[in-house]
Amino acid sequence: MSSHREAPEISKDPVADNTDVYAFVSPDRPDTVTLISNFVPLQDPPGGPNFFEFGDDVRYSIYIDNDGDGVPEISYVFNFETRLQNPNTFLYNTGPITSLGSHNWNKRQFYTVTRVEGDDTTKYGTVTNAHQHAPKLRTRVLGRGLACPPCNIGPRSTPNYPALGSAAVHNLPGGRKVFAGQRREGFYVDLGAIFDLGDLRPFQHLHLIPSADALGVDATKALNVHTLALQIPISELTANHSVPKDPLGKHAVIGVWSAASRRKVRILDQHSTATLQSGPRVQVSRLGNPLFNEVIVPLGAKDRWNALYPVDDKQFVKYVEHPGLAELLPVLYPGVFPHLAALNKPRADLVAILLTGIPQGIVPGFQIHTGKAPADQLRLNVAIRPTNSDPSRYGLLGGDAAGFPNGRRVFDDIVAIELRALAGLTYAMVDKSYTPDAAAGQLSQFAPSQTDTVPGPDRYQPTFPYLGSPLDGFDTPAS
Amino acid sequence: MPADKTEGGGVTRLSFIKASAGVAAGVAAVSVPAAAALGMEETGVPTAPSSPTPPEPVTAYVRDAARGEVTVVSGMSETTYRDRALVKRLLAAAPQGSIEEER
Repeated sequence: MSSHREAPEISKDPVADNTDVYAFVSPDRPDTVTLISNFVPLQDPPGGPNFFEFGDDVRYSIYIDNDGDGVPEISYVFNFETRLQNPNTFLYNTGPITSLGSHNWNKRQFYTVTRVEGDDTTKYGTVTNAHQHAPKLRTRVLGRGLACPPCNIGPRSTPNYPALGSAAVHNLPGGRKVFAGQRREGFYVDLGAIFDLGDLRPFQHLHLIPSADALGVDATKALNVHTLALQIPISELTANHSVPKDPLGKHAVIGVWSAASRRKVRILDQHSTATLQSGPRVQVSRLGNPLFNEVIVPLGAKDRWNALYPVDDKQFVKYVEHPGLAELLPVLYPGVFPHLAALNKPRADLVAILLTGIPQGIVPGFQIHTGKAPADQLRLNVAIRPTNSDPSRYGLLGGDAAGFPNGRRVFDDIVAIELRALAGLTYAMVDKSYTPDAAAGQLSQFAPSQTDTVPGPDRYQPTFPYLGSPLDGFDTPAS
Repeated sequence: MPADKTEGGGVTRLSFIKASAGVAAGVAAVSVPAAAALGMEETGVPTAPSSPTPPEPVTAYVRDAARGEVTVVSGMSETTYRDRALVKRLLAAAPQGSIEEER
């Protein structure tokens, strides 16, 4: 998965598990950037009676680094509060929920979103010995008491879910929009195959343990997720508050990632049902580039990676330069990747894509470079206009500069893009003498005939928050 | 082997805290400030941690400041003491001016 259950500790803490981050120039409001961060992975829609929700005891943050130092200058922080209307029923709702104010809706969530600005906004609420090291940060509450939509229960409980979802899109001052609540999972992947020794069903006759080729299976098509989404004017995100028009301009690229944190101390007490906690925040999950912690970082380092900030990522460069999956592919697919098997140089292409951004001069008119400091961030060039006509799911590899690794759109085929990159397709960018294996450009979990059905037309919507309405539990049997 | 003894017959954190608790309670009973009785400084000196957090840290928290009640958790044990001096000292050491999150 992009980052679903990707590390040992966070896999036991779903409400804090950051699964996907998206950042793109909004296709219908190109003077804004849309930032999306998902949590609470692999939701089976019928999962009641305690349906999925954000954690009241978790703080969720979306970070922006706009000067390339690996440290965020801006963050948007979400804190949630659950309110129970009637504690004397076991039901989530006691009748149809027809509005966000419905009296039939028993268990609701509300949230506050705060903008934090300063030299290092990871320090917001995380500093120990704070009286000695308190940072100078400016905070502004953008919205308080904002309602989440309910989970999509079924036709009797949530008969008009799209209306509930729309009502939960809140307009904030300054042309901002925000949404927090359940959405349909946008990330598509053949989970069962990829974790079965790197199998790719359309090519599995070539696998070390072969079987007949088959169509890929979209393992996440019937799952939901919890989404934080913001739409922010570009001028609020850039270092000089400009709206860059030149993709090669100094302030055109911003770095984006998100994280979840918990209080340092939690005390369980049989005489109290409240969450008893204290102390500063400690980061327990983070996510920038999809699949970074999942595929690049080895098992023994994944929990540490989740606790660290991108500015600390120098220690993970070695895993990017020599990724384990690139070494495995020639073993798992004998004879298919001879050039990759012979490639023993550090993968400067992957370092550029994942840790520093692609500098100008590699792809004409394009760059997402933020400097030499290695930091796992999604890098978005806000001067590149969205591709509204026939965008490529393969992003930059498909000739579409508005897609991954220039930020990430909800429909980008991340698994195919990163498989192809790991297989050596992008190494030719930095070493013209290298010829990628023919298979590298074909790698995908899905057959070409499946591009009309995977990810499918209902997965997304054309307007904010772009991820489609969640599937309801009545019509979507548990898997 | 008793849970609070090390293999070498030394003192574990658990036995240490038990012993310390006894001293503190006794001191409190005769109304002598615990810190002064133990020859310690009245206030702590902020310092950067010199080592990682231990696997099972001895943890104390003020349960009821007005009653002078403090709970100490160590290993598999928890004990609540009435120790106004310790509570006073803990409250004095509690960080001030921390950043409050907007909720």
